[in-house]
Amino acid sequence: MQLTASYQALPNGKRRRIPRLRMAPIAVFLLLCGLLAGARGFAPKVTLFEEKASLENVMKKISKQTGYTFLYEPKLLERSVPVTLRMKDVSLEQALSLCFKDQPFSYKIFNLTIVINEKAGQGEGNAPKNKAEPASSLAGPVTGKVTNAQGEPLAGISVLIRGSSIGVTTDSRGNYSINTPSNATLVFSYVGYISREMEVGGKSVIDVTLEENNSTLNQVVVVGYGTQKRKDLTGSVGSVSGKDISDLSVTRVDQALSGKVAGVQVKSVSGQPGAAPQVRIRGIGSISAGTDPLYVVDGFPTDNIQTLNPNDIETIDILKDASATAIYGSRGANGVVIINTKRGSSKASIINFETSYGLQSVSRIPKTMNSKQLAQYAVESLRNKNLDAGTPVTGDPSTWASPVQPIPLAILSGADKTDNVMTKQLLRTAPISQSTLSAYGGSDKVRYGLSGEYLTQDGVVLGSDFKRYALRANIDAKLSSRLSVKVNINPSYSISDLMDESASTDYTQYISGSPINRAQLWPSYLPARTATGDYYQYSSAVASPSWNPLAWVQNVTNKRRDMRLLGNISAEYKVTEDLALNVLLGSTLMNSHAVRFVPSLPGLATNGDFVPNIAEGRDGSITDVNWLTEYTANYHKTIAKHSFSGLAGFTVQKDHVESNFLTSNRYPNNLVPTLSAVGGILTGGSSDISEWSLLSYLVRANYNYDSRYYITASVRTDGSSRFGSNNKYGWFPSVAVAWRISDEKFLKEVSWLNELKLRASYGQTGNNNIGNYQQYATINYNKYVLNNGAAAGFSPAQLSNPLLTWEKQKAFNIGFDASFFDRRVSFTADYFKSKNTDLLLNVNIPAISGFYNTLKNIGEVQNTGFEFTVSTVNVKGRDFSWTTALNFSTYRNRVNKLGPGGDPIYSAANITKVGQPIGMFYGFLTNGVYLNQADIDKSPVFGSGTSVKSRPGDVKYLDVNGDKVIDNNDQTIMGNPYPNFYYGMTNNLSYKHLSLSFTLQGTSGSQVLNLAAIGQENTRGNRVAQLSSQLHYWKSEADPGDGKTPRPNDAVTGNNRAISQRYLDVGSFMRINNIALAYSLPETAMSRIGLKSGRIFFNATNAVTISKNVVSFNPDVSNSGSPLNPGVDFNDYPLPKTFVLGVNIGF
Amino acid sequence: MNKILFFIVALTSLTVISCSKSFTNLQPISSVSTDALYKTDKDYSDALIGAYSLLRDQYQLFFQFDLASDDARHQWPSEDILLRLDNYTYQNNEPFFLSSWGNYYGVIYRVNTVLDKIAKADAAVVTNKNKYIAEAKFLRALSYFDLVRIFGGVPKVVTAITDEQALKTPRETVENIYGVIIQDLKDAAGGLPDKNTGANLGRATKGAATALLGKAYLTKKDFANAETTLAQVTTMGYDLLPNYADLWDYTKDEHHSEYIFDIEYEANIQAGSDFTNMFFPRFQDAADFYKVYGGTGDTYTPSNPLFGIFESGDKRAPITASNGFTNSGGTFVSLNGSVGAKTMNLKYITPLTVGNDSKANWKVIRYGDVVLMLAEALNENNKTSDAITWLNKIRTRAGVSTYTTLTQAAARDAIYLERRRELSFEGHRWFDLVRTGLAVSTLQPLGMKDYMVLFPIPLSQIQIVNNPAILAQNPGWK
Repeated sequence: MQLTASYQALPNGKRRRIPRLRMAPIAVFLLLCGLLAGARGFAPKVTLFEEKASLENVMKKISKQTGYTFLYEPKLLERSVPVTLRMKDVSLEQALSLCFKDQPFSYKIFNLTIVINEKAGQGEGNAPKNKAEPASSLAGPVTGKVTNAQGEPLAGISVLIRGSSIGVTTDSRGNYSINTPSNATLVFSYVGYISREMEVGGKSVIDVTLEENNSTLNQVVVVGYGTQKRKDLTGSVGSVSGKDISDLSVTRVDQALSGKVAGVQVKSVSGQPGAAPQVRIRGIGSISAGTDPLYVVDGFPTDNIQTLNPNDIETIDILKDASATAIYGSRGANGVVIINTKRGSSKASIINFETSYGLQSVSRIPKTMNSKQLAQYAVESLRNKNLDAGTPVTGDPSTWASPVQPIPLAILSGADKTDNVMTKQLLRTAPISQSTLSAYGGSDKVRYGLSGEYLTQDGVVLGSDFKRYALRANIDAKLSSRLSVKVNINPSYSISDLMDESASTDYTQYISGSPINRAQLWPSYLPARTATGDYYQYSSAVASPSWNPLAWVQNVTNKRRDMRLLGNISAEYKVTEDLALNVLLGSTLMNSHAVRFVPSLPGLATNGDFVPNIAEGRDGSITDVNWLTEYTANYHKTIAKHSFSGLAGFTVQKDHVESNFLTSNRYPNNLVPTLSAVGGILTGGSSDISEWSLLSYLVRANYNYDSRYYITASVRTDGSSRFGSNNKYGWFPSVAVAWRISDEKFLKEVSWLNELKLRASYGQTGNNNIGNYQQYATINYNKYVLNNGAAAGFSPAQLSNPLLTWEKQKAFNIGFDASFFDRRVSFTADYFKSKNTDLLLNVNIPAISGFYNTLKNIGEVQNTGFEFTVSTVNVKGRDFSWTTALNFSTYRNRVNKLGPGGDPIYSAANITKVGQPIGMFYGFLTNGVYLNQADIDKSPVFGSGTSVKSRPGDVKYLDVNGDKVIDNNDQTIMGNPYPNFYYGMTNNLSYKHLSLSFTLQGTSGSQVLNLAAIGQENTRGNRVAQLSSQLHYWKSEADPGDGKTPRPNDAVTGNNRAISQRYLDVGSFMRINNIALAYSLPETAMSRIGLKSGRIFFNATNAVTISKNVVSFNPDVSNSGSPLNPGVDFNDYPLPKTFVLGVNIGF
Repeated sequence: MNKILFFIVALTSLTVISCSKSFTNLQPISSVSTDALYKTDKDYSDALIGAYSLLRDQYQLFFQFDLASDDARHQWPSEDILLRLDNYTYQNNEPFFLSSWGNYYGVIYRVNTVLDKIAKADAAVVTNKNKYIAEAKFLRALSYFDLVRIFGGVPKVVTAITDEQALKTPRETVENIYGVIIQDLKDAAGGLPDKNTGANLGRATKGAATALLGKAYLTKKDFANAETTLAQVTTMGYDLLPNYADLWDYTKDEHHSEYIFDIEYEANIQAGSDFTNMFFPRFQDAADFYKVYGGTGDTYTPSNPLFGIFESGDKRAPITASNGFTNSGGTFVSLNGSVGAKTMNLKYITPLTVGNDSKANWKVIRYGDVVLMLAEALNENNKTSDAITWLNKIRTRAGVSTYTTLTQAAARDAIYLERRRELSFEGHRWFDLVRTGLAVSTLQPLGMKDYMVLFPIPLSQIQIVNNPAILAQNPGWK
């Protein structure tokens, strides 16, 4: 709230004079300011025991107890008389009438403001009336209307002439009229709104829109099956407002969440347009049952938010602790993200059109050697190979026993000038544009929110793009005073041209199906195309076999079309004022159809083929029908200081998925990519149906006494088709308490403290992502050849497990919320400890049983962590304001229990081991290279006495087990994919019509394992590209290079290519995630051309990343969603930076 | 009115759900629980096909054991188990050993399940009950025979066991495992048909069981039983193909007079083998000439000494070991690529239109092998002249001179050498060397250590059991 010099407000009685501009003590922190509007929603009571107290003090106390704000001219109070009062739990009206009985003032309550004026015989509060005397002979009447952002009129707004004590308030329709000099400035202010100043400038009509000041305390937070005020929360819930999201102009919801909420890690694992993000809340609580949170969109639990238009979002609330998530029972263990979309407002209607255009590009390509460097490296690698084999290296290198190929030699002689950075050939600066047309409005009875979106995005990798068409209609209808209905319909259609990316099945090698990975391995001395323009293809003699990635991205079709319809209808029937019944019926229908065609082309020959590849096609589709019904009863009752609310409900959900695919490699030519071309000769296919169902009962009760002592308890029971017959139902209780200390007597007078609340919670949740039918001993279908033809058979696929059950989480949370200095500094801290037991593990069992492993509920992990959020209002002035929100979080993950023998889980280069976090990097520790023969002689070496023994210049591994020999037994935990901490910071600055916000995000202390580097650092150079970081290699005893980079060698000696610390790089980074700069066009100018509002904006996403990492496109990478393989980079689809320019017009 | 409307909506939808009591009891739709199977005659036949299918996976890998012999080289500088087997640097945690272990025990589990369930089956319903029992035992014996030769005395599992029981099942002695093998093969020979035709062509026969029994006896040096058993096979109607090259001519049916038991592969039905590609050298002209489409493995190719074991005129020589080919113009083209194999073996070469989709079968046991084994058994039983008679049948077909008289020791060497000439690249050489006690002396110069006569028990299995009293590692492996 903006205060003027002449008026002073007393929010909760804790405000002193506020300078117009003030820097908060700590320059970095800041916050949304706001005035506590207090206990809106129930009648305020006042208790006063005063003996000759000053009126000012009494007003403070009233304000504090009721949340009402006094608005008055300070000079007035000089004439006040001391107050003596004794009253307990009286109404505000009573209290005021007693207080002001003897005062020379009148008062009037407008909304949450009490305006005090001189008793001048004027009828109290008959606003609008000009209570001011003419201040200037030039005075003339100015009239206007004050509305909120939704166009609703605001009553009780104070309208003051700046620098004077003259003011009026608006009437119930938001109108005002004031006599004012034509050169004056009017100040419009109101509790909970950001003040505005308007120059009169000779105008006679000034309409004003006030923006709400999002006081965090009164912010409504969406919790499971209901809402609460932040002040009343007992759990740990993070929120992001729709405005924060739409201001960023991002195309994916996850981009808006990055770095915004403590304890929520969002990784944009792939830069592919339309790709799914990786969202993790409070660590990793599962090994194999998934770690994605549950999404609840407009009340519907779902697993997909990619088709959601971020501009449609009203709020995102993230339930973090178990007391908040337990109401979602067996799906709550990974946290819950509740998204509600925008709905129409009751009166004014707004039509908005927003369109933006931007460009995306890749900022950094991990640097590989240029062709001269690589050719020289290749020669060295073959020289060393020959030397090791004892064959001569004199004369023409092409005549050596292991000869150098002609191309590198031609490069070195200068005859061949090729110098190709293949990855650059695959990348482009790609446009992105998004348009949204929306309309919000309605009448008392019917409100509507409509939006339509068209998004088109080219990927930075050639051949990839994404288009999304989305419509949303949210209708709210009041059928009677008791019955209301909500309808949400959200159809969307998206078309993706997808680029292949690596899969976790690629982890055993350095090369994957990703064209970018292939391009990064393409030797720089080989061109992308031949002189005649054909795709260049080399034989396996020249380099390690690979198809030409440029040919791949330009010719392979991989198209997916997704149709999605989310629809739900809910009805609320108010049985009494206190009791409401709700029914919700909803469904999501999803159809995804994917077509893939790899034509037969010279450039696409695989694996060193000498004839073109065979054309292959695939056609697959998935249909998913998911429906939900939900019955809930909500009860609220406040009796004196006792406030109670209760929820009881019953809900069922069922999912039915059908998927099928057909493939063929019998295409006669490349002309027709669909399977119609193969004449019915299909070479593969399958069709599957799978279902799950969930039946639940839920109950929750909230109680608070005097908004000081809170207790919340909830229970949910889930029965699921996924659970074994002996474990059909799960029970998920939670309890939470909170204490708002700041409302206690002993703190009420502490003027610098506005709010202090302690919270503690405990609850149990589950994770039911254990797959369908896992409890049954199902079969696999097998094939053998009999009579020279196919014969079908079957075999048991898994052991039955009637005990199979959900994974269980028990979580404890303790935290506090505080705000100080007139709410200019807010602070939230949480500590949590969660233990996940009965983790579903594919436990290794002796293979003599017929199976390598079997699913058991056996594992246990724990996560402990801290989260801090600080919000500050750094500067709050008439023209300039600056707020900052900083969050900082950390967690420690620890595996407590694995399979019966406790044997670790090895997953490529990661290990999951008891006592350690999930998925630590596993391999050899290195200590540079062997500098000379003496070093070899005195150190443990690999393969002693064999042809592959360690030699000078080879990697020196640490003899971890101390047996004086380097072998596989020396592998150990070699690195940590987890940061020590995560942080995010958002700054919002505004100056007059200009606003700027930027978000930083970062992590510290983690490492990245670059599997692609196992090729790019494999010491060959004559086979695949090498990273520039390998240039300072060991050349001789006299010239050992940097002492840690091994010598080039085409043959592997000394186990040089084993997975080791050589392939680890820094994972820490700091990124400027978003920059949003916007200019709001002056309303006067806009109204002149018939528009309500206009805004021009510029946004940058993923603009700058600062990191010491050199091997990855993006250090914040995790190629796989599996918790077993965190922090693995495979040089996949790079994350682009995006710059967008756009305009938003309201009319 | 509104109230009524509300409750109508609420109640109707509620009823829809509550009427289905089994809402949370959903049965698999695209699979089926094993409880519903193992009932009809066809179920058991299908369950056995499920067991055979796993042998397809295993026998695609089987040649790798033989890479450790002196015949076969891996000639591509890949850093993998193929190279490590070739140069004796393999360790106990190679996935290859685990998959071999798991595949054989997978087959054993599948047939044990069949045997457990069929024991209670009504022979009136499962009309081929005895045949299925015999076939199951054949597959189990084959698995144990490979296991015991690869790993030594392995855990004995003859019924479907739980994972708890598996943790407590110890290694058996080699002798006891042979006990299982021999009994199973005897039972199998008793219940299997002499010959399979039609839809059953490719399944095990009495001849397969008998020949394998003979081989088992020979391997455990029970030469008396080996002789009688193998002699029995010679009366079953098998015969050497007149032309050695026909064994490797894939335009002809592979179920000929010399065929006893193959692991079956077939092209164009997604059931091909990768032998043609895997064993092919990386050399474009050769690929063009032999019309081999797809990648090449440069593995399981002839070592240089192998070229020297053949007498001149031996028809087997050009098929077994070649370092080039004569192109259509009549010019000899050497395999001289800068990388990849410089030698090749033609036993598995057949034109391919799709990579790794070869129709080449893996010959587990063929009559030529039986003939040489019989010769060996006879010779060890001091019937050297009888042995030479059988040996000469092989030599005659190969187009080389026959032996007249040899001492027993000379005959032994001659038979060993003849096996090498006749059976190279058919997965026998390594096991022959180990069986005859010649492995260490022959292979030590190539890098083999004496403990390598047994491959290591897969490390993961040792770690899972984590009890040396139950599952100890083979000597020398750590």
